[in-house]
Amino acid sequence: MTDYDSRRYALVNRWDPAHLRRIDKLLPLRTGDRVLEVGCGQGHLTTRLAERGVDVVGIDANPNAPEVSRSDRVLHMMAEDLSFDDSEFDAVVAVHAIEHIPPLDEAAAEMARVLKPGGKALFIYPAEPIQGLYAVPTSMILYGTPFKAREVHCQWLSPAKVRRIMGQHELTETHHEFNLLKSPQFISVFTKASPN
Amino acid sequence: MSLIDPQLAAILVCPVDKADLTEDEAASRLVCTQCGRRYPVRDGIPVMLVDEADGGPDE
Repeated sequence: MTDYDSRRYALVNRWDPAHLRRIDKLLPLRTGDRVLEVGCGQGHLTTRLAERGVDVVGIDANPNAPEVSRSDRVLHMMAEDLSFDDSEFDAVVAVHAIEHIPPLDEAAAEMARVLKPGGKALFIYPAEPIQGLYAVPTSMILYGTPFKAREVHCQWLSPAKVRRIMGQHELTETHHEFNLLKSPQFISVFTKASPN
Repeated sequence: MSLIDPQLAAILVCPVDKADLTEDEAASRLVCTQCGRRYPVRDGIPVMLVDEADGGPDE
């Protein structure tokens, strides 16, 4: 299993404004909305959402993330063990995160649990022709070898597979797309079932 | 003066049993009202990991 304790890895991910443009298009977030970002790293997106008045919390498996972040809304927490109450969030976003989570089914259950009924989840993840292809640079940073790329991207995902996983936790897909922002990637959007 | 941002405090629960937490300001910890696990707050950042907590039923 990948060890995310690297301080260098917490710092290395760059901000890609295209992600926020797609999120704005697909998931309108309003001032005061309560949002959880899973796998926020140093908090590029969390910080920007907070600046807009979104009530956002970012979590990351890397213990260095809170320290290297400019935001005080970044916490060290595991997606499969969320320390939030049920139905706390209007939205959950995870940008290049779910492909790194070995217990993805448990994490999906937790993300669904903390979402309000009718809340939305948005996932951006790589469209890899070969599993781990786009994790080679990360594998070099964490391990000094390209051969652990499939441990970093431990999940090889497609919209159909993500739909299957999330569908087991009351999350219904409302949109998916393929795009070529900086690298080929998929975006899937889900809505949590409402009682009526 | 509280240990952490009140908005954050309002939504945090114990990751094990999802019970509410109380603040132990003197010890800089968040304490679970159910299992008694104590989660450290370091530099204002709560560390909500079971492995980092003391106390609770195992001890």
